[in-house]
Amino acid sequence: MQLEDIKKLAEMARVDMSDEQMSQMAHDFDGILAYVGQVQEAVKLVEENDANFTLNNVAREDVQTNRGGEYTSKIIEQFPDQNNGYLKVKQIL
Amino acid sequence: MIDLKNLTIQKAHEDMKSGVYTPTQLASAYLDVIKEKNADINAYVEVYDDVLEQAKIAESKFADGTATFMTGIPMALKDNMLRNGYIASAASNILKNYKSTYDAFVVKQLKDAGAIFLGRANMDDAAMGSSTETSAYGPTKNPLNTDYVPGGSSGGSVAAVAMDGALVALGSDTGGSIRQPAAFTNLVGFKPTYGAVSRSGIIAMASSLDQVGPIAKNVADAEILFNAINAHDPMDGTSASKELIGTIDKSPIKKKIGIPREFLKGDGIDADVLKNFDESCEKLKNAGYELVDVSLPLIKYSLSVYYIVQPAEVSSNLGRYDGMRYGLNVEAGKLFDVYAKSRGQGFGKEVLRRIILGTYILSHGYYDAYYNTAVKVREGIKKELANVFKDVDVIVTPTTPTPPFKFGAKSKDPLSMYMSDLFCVPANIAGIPAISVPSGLSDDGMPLGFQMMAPHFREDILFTIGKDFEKLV
Repeated sequence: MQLEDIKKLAEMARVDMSDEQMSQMAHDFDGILAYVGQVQEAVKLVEENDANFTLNNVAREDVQTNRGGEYTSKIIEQFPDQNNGYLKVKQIL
Repeated sequence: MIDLKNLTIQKAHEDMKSGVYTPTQLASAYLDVIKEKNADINAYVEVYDDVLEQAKIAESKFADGTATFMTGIPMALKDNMLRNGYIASAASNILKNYKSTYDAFVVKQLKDAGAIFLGRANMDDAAMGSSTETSAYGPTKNPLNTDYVPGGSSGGSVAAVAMDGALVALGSDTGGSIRQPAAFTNLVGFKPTYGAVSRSGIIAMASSLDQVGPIAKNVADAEILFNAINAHDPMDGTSASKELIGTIDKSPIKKKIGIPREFLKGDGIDADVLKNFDESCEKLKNAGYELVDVSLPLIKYSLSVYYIVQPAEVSSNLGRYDGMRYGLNVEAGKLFDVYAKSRGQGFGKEVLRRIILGTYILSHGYYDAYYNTAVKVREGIKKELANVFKDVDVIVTPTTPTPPFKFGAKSKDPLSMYMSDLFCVPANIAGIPAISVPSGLSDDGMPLGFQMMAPHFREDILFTIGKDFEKLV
């Protein structure tokens, strides 16, 4: 993997890293991807029927599970910046 | 003086019930050890300020007759478990100032039982690592020999128990993070069936793999702690209901043990580990167990599957840490830069590696080749294990492919670090319970573990055979 590839991924993942960090990562990835790539060989041993996904998602009823405002002050307390109970963020553009 | 070294939950319970000592005296004895040893070992990143107040609550339970086995038992919580009003940081810079707004289900269960939380235990950064060297609070040392790592990611939890700074501890296990460190510190480490213990209030790493479980000095203590946290919780959608558990086939133990010979022949498995493993099997045979070789052609791919599914889930789960609402917030002019700088500085090297790896694996061009393929192989592994369990009670392996290693031995080569969970990950991949029980010493005098895996929700088998095995070592 090339440094440029890591740069694109880092942007998608919203992480700021130095070029040195990213070069090291690109280097480490070759070995890791070769290792995990073994699944492509393994999947040939999996019988068609056995590969069916047997799990299903669990969803709860869409109802309120706590009292209104129960956690509000504890959560606001941790905001890095706030105004009248509203979270303040930086401009987007 | 209370003999903490040989203390068990049952003994402590009887002692406190009959008034040999009080929960306050027991908790104080542990606090004294922590004061003496923690500066060197770094098992705890915080000792709670209300330990003696908790002990008073336990005392009232003994006084009014409502005490249960966990009442007054001093224990450590891994730093990824929420305790209302206290910091829970997952030993990560990004959460170093995060104060829990509620109790994790397991914390609430144990609080109701009157257990005493001594403090939060060190761990690898966001539970990613197998040596506790990646912690934002610095590494934890192995109390048995401080040149060695304690294993990870629950390294602080095991060190707390191994240095007699807690009677038991909770850890979390996504791919061996309870069992591998337990093996490295001569303790019992137990990962329950996926769904047996609620994940509500546990800082998520990889949600289809994470499970909380006990770390203890013997199997009976691990069982008691497990029983205290094993309950249905509607706040975790994957928490198993009573109805589901009722459908489990509880056929009696056949005393038959499966050995996956092919899996034990791979590269990087130490000769003294294999020798110790063969001796352990022989002991079980002499105790009346039947040993059979079992064929599991896919199991050796478990670690490859794991290092696809796990980083994929990590990259999604950790998307929530953006510096906006809590945790580390690095100032920048634009919103995007606040995200990128907070995340870049808040996550350690290993965490970043997995986020980027997961982002790659889930990206458009590679999703089928990696994630989708891994999911299919995962299903294949589950089915081949289920098939073998029709014939045997447990499948056994060494807990780790090598004995405990020294600081720095694997931290520069991620793949070699990942390999230390080779034998642990199949249980997470399949969601089955697994236990590591101490099995003797390596050539350099460090502890080794013997791992047993059982079918879903058959924890009882692991406790029964685990107790038998303990007597043989």
